Amino acid sequence: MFYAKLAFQNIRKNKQAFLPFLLSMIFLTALNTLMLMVANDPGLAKLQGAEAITQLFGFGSVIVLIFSVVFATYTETILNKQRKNELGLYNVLGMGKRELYKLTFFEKVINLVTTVVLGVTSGVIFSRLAYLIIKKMMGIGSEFKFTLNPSILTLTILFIAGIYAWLYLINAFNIFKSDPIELLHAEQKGEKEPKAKWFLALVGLVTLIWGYWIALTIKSPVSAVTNFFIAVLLVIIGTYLIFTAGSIVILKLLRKNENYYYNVKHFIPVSGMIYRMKQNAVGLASICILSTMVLVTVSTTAGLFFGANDQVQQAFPRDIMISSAKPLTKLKQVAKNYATKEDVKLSDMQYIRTSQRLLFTKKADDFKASDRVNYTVSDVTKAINVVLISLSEYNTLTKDNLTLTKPNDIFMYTTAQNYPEKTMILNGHKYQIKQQVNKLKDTGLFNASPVDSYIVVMKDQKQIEKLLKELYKTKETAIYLEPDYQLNFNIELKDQAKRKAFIRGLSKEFAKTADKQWYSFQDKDSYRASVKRFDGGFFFLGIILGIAFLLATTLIIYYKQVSEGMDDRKRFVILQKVGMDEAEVKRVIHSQIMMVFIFPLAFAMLHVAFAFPLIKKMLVLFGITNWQLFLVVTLVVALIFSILYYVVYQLTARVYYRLVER
Amino acid sequence: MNELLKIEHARKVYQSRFKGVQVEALKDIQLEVNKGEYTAIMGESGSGKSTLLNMIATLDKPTSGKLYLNGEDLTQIKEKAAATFRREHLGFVFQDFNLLDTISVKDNILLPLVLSRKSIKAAKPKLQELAEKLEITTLLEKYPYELSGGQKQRVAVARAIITDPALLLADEPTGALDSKTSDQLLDIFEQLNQNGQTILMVTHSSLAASRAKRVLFIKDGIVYHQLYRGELDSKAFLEKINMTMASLLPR
Repeated sequence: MFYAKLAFQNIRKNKQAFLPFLLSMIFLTALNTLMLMVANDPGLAKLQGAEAITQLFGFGSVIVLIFSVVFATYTETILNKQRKNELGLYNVLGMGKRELYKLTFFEKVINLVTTVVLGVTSGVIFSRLAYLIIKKMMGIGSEFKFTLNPSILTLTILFIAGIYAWLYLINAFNIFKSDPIELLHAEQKGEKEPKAKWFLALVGLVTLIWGYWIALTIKSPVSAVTNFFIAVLLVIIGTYLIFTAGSIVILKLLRKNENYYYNVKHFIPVSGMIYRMKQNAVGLASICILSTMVLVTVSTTAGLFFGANDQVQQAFPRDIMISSAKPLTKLKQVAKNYATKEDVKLSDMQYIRTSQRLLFTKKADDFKASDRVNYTVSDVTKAINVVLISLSEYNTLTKDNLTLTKPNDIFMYTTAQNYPEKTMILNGHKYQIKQQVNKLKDTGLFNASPVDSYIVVMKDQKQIEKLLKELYKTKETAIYLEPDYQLNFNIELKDQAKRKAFIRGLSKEFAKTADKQWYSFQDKDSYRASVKRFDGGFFFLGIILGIAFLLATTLIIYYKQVSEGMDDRKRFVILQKVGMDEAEVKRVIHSQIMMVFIFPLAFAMLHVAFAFPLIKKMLVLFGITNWQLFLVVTLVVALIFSILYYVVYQLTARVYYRLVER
Repeated sequence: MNELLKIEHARKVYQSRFKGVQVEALKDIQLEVNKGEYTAIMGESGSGKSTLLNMIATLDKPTSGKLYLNGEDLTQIKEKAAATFRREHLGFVFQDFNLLDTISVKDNILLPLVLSRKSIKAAKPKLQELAEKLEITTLLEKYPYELSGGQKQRVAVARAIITDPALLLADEPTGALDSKTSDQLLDIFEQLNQNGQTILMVTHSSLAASRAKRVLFIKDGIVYHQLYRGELDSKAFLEKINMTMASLLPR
């Protein structure tokens, strides 16, 4: 019992070391509780469309689990460093290693109990809150109830206990390999000046530029997803190398320049930073990476969330969209009859026959039909869609009155940035573009595609069929010969429930008449609901992860300030004795703090700036093409984050000042 | 006379943290140091020597009384100007060296000049000259944590005198050194003094004090006694110092 008592006293008396440790552990526990509860909630899983959220949280909870282990290890090593003296003293006073193992064991048990009790409680409270938010965001009714799942709680507790066991192992290993004198004098060892590692610095620079290069040169959003991970990996490696090796190389170069270095403004900061970077480069690089993660996750998910309407609008130019390979005249009549019966007006009706979306690869004005069978990843970046439509269909659709005389004359519309050529060569057949017609844009029919689309208006249906037969000769590709009929219209109904009922009724009517004709029926309302659910869940996850990363950042900064404050105190006392006045000392401290403050943030912003085009292209996959909106969202997120970061820094800087100026 | 430092009726009272208890560190100090003098101040711990040194160093101010350096009233110097004053007129050698472990020996020596915004190019020949004199030329590119105590103290001396201070203040300079390196350091002090450097050294080692030209004894906050070396060699002077100290012992 003696050890338990002593352990308890240790924790109480060592608040400055234990409090941040306990706080971070409690926070990790709460976070894990929250993630696991949401991911494994039976009520949520039953909800239609909520699988997206369950999946996202399942994925997120794995990330959070990994992150928890890494971060707990980090805090434990710092705690060990801070407590080396104390344990050394116990050792000198007659406690053997065996007793120290016992003592630290009891400390860990007390910490574990505190962590589990407070962490799980706050985790449950937060998940209740999270449920309320999810409900509100997804617009789910009251049938959705919060349930406390005991097996999930047990799982969380087991996991936290596992982490503590791991931490105890680290701790025990540290005691095992130390000797008492070393424990006692841990801090007094002279620190060697770090070496300038040119090679590593260069490798860091190259990897970083390579990562940026990938991010900048990605052409197609389809390839963005795979390349994104490579770019992220390269940038992370680059950041760590530049912070650890690059910074020291640069500082040493500055030191070599005598005119620069032997100047009051630079002398102390530069020489101080060389050591600072040795101890803290990893911490600073972690802050930078975490900040980047916060910025990217929150701005991407926020972009999705706020762009949800765009996404819906893009995919659904009309409320109801029906398509088939056979004419839809019958269904059109059914819809009209049903509408009259229900006394609902149908508007903006489009009925159009086009070819299917034909996949081509494009080089200047040379288009080659792809059969989708022999398709490689490298082709993806060159891929585009071609849709063929006859002039009469075009004129009906756009209420235009254009004419084409020669069989090889065409009109063309593209969703690509621009098409400067005057001709279009489709598998060797040369066509003259008489005019690019942008009226097709307003129909909204061809916008929802991750790759660029080229809509070709041909003289008549005969020309189209002739070309198609030339393009697709094999049995496998015969399917492309079939036309694509589309019937789209809006429903003039405001009330949500009535709309829902009408749509349900309409689809039933269709099912009755359609016989065995294959057709697809989609309505905007259910699409919007599922998009909102998905994006809302995503955004929520983004915020949760953002907060988690931000708190981790805060703790790293705090630890950094404390450990630096203790080291720097001695230096500033000496400087004052040698003749530096207080104002100057303050100025130097301030500039040093600002450098350490701005460096990771500035780098994070740089990362985000380079990631922007890549994320922009990925969002296109989700149907968000309004990049100005995304830019605004990103800027706002970056601004909010900078403010939060600054607040955190100010709060922790106080600890530093207090230590240095004591 | 060539009076460099003059202290008139300096008194220092510390207000204890706990209510009302006052500690009188210095009662009434009366002291003059002339240019080119080498003075040692002796006293036991708690006698007030550190307080006295701190006041001369402008790190502390007397409760009453006056201090003059080169005719300038130290008690009137504002907190801000004090640092500049220290840099320009005083050189310090401390018991625990107070070298910065994070910069090279060379940069440690140049530090006061950098703080005074002096040109480093002009200081380089000076640095070389000092380094040769103090036998630390080969150590210039090393770091303080790589040096022995004696080497560290020689570096500290170089740092203290590179600004050509009017007064070199040494606070227990031999306190952390063994007898051999202590001797070396005291030789250096003697040499510096022969070249005209005024030195004021606080010590409780009678051996160190015996190398000075004059020794002041402080007890209970007043200058209790003083000895001039005159023509005596340091051995004989040491004898006298020891005898005086014995007479100061509480009976």
